Amino acid sequence: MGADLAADPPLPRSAQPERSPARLTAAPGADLHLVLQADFLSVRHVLRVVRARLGSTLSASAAGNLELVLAEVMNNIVRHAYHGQGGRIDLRIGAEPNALFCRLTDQGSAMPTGGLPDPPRPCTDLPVADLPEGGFGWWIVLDLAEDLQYRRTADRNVVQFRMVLN
Amino acid sequence: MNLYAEARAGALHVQVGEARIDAAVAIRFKDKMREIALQPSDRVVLDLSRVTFVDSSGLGAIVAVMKSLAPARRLELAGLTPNVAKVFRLTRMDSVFVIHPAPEAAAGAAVRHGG
Repeated sequence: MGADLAADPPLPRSAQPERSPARLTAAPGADLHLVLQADFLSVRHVLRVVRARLGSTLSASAAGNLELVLAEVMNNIVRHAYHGQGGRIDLRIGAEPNALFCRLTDQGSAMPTGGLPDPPRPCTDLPVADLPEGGFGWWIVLDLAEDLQYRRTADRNVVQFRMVLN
Repeated sequence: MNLYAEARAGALHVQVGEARIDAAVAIRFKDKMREIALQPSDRVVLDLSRVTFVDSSGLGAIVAVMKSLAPARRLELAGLTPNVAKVFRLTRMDSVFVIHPAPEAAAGAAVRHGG
């Protein structure tokens, strides 16, 4: 493992989300650390920032995969960790040889099982009336991300994974 | 949420005039599509050629629209851009929808069906 969960620097307890939806704390060319409020429009804004910062260095396919996986993980945090009530999300992206290492931290509810969710893959071989309208997001993450890990540390959820670049 | 609807050879052709169908707009998209689909037609073709990003919430909304049209009418898709096509492929939803390579092909299919 190129990174250790225990090495995650503690966030100041007094830290509050900024008024602007995303704050860029990394210098140009350095690894990214973005802080955002947990709502869908802020997630959309942060994805645009990530694409602007990293998109030109990635293939169209890799940029698309990164955007999709980050969207699914952050929207899960908005919905399930913070229950739509808002909160703070920290997104860190570090460059590795042929991969991007991503870590998302929030201070919302823990994952219900205490570990990574293991839902059944939504079935599509069904009559139209019975087709699932949800449950796709986590499978998209599982299909596209590598080395996916979850840990509850003190009052925080930490999800990390790698996006392999080809 | 900009959706442009037009009747073409028995099909209601709806172009999504937005780059994203994501969690931020999924509910609005679903509601607006249901409203537009009140216009009678045999088929509804959703033209996604301007859409560059669909997440699982957007996908769920598209499935919900298809379910609301069934069983009387089908929802067909056209003009999927590469990242959008990938979401349908990963979730196996590409096997559920009729997917036309281009909006023009969907219109052509309508002419053939109608002729």
